[in-house]
Amino acid sequence: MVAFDEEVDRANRALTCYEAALSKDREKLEEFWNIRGPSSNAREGRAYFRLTAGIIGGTYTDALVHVATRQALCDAWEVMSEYCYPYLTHRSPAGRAPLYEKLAPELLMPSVRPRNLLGAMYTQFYWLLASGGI
Amino acid sequence: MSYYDPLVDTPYLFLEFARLAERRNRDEAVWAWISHYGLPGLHRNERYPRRHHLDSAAPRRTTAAGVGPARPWLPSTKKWTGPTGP
Repeated sequence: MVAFDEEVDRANRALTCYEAALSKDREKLEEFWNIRGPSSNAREGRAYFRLTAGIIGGTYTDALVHVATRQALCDAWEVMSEYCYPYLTHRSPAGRAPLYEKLAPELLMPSVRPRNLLGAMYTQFYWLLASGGI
Repeated sequence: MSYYDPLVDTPYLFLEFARLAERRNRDEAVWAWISHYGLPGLHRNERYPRRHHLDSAAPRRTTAAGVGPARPWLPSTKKWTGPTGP
């Protein structure tokens, strides 16, 4: 159960992080990173994001979004690299089951396959990330 | 016993799983989730690298509730090879 709870927390954090990045809302992102308020830790955090903004050539909010997106990617990839594997599938123009469809090189497309239920759930998160928030 | 294809039959399973952390009665929600969808497939001899399992002195990863390292915004010290890495 401890491992299950850890995975729930990890998934929740990854999703919250991604939603904060999608919102591009400065307040929400600062809350996620726990850098609001006058504490020295919060000031240090804001300084880090101002520095990052200079490095990426964007605004302070761009830097908050940048780091949150990087974190969501990292969280997703950490699980996927273990519980999913790359797979080549093939596009079926007729929508029929692959077994009954004629194979051709131009119909091949990249995909991923999960090894277990956790991998399947992160494949869904991967699709969400790859959709660009649409 | 019933079977389902998580990628086809339950497209929002990740969202449901992640939201378990926000449920008021979390333990109850977790058991209900497990009895409905099954176990996620974790096992003891997994290679999955959890830092705090490898190094007991390493800080726990931060959570949405804010529990974790003091500077969660800093990049992880783990080497990230990216989606196209080896």
